[in-house]
Amino acid sequence: MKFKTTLIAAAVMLACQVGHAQTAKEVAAEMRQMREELRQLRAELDGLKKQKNQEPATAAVISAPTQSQTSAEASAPVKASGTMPYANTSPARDAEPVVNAVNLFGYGELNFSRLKNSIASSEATARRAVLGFGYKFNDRTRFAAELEVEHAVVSAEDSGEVAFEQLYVEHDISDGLSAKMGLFLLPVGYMNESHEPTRYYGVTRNLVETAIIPSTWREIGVGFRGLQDSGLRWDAGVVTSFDLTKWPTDSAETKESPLGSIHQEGQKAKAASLGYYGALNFDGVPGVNFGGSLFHGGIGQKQPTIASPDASVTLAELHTKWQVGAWDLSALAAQGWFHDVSAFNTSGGGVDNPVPNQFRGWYAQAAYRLWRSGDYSLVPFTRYEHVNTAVSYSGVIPGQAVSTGPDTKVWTVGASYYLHPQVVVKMDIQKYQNNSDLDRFNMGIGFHY
Amino acid sequence: MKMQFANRRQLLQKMGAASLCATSLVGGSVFAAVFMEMPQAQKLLLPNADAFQALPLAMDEVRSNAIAKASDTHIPKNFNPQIWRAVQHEKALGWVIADRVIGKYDLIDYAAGFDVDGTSLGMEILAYRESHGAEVRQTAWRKQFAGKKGPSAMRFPDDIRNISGATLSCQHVTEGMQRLSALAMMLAAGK
Repeated sequence: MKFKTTLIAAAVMLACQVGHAQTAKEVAAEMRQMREELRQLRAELDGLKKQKNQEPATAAVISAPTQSQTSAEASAPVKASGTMPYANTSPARDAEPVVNAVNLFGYGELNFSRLKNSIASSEATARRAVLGFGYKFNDRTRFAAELEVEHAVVSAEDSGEVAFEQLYVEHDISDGLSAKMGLFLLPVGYMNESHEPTRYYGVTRNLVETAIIPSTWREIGVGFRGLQDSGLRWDAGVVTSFDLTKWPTDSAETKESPLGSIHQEGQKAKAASLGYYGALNFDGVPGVNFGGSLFHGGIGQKQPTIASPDASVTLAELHTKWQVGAWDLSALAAQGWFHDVSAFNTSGGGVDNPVPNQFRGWYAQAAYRLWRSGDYSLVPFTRYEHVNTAVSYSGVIPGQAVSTGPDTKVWTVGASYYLHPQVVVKMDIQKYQNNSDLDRFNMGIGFHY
Repeated sequence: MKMQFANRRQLLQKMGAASLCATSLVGGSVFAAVFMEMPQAQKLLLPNADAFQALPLAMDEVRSNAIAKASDTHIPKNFNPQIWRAVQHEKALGWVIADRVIGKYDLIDYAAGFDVDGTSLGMEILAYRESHGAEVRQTAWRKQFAGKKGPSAMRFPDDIRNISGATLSCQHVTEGMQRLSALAMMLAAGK
């Protein structure tokens, strides 16, 4: 607009100046010419405006770079020198599309299980449906969330669950250093952060990263991640922790997952005692990963209603993965310690379900891509797991009947049939060496997008 | 090597044969963490070249189909890689080809260098826009492409290995590189 105004003003001034030397007829002719030029300029501007307005419409369509140079421009060589005096000759950049700031992603998994010795317990369920969405405020600050519905239906009569698995803002502090603030997944093991069904073998998630590491484990807090070109990735943060007041003193359900029984998941989490975590991963050799993590946090939460208001937990974990050729080999070991829980266990004449001192587990897994054709592939696998969710106790009153363990040892053998790298049909058989009543056959389908 | 974060404003300033158009784009929303400018990438990929000549090439159906077949990948919508011929004293040294692929849900801009036989000389990530999978920028991972000739020599994850936790980015960049490799082989054969 400013440009047009200037042009008009210039035209008028010019007309005034020449008016002294030209006849009124000549001036009128020049004015007509000016008007014509202005009309052409206006048309050009309208064209540019129209072009600009069309960009948001195409923004959602992620496009490849487009050729924006004319052949004359394109054929002009760009000289190089030590000081890099290049013009930016990238048509890809010149035509940088405005990528939609809103992103949608997610995953789903539906499972069927049939217990070998209890056909009546056979079950099929829409285990998880997750809708993920994100928004980019600018190139350094973004928001992401994952909303999960477990078991299809949530109502007063059903056991389904709706939860935000993640809800955080991420900010890139510098190239290679970012911060997360909000409800986010802790960088512990393999499955906690990458838990989409196409990312792991077996219809159900492995036992170690469910019973010992309470996947999907998320906390509210602040976390930092550094990524170095050497392949070293580090994480550190301060977050909420667990809540011992949730421990069921009269039920052994904690045997399934001690930490899973007392997690807070960002739901009015007690925050008198916080948790601290750190993790290191090395990816400097392509296809190979080594890593480990350490978490320590208060669980007593200074609560006067329990006998161990200063109780705490430590969880340490090591993992490695080798993806070489058609092989995918991995192993993980995790060990947890509860501290200062004796008073809690002794209270009230001795709780029926005491808090253990230690819990631990490990697994080793081998998968081999047997066949592949285009997007399709078949990957059989086997996994051995050894888990003990109650290794020992302290503060248990003499004579009280409490049991350690169980010392669960499971073989899982099965296959993943990928219809596409992001869509998988799975099948496996699980054999529990210590309790054949748990032996089962599983089938499932999973996808992520 | 420290990863470089180039000045986006500088990039935008360069955007314009049409300054009016450039002004409107600056005011718009362009989301990108730009790590490297194209000229930088060109110089890194073919350091001996003294000039890079843009080579317009229409990505018609015949060419697209040939690339799809040779690379055994799907051709993305609007696939239109940009090509520069690298020359030294008027002698052809190879090509730099730039393209973009979707990582998990957003675009990754990258450029690859090829010698006159179509052998890959390496690749550089120009821009990355997601919070996950940025490990594809690591030198050790990118170096896997150097020395590989033809798309069948860079299959994922057999020839180009995965980075745990960055699978989609690794896979999609590898597939993109396979397409560029197929294109480089066509250029080397004079097609």
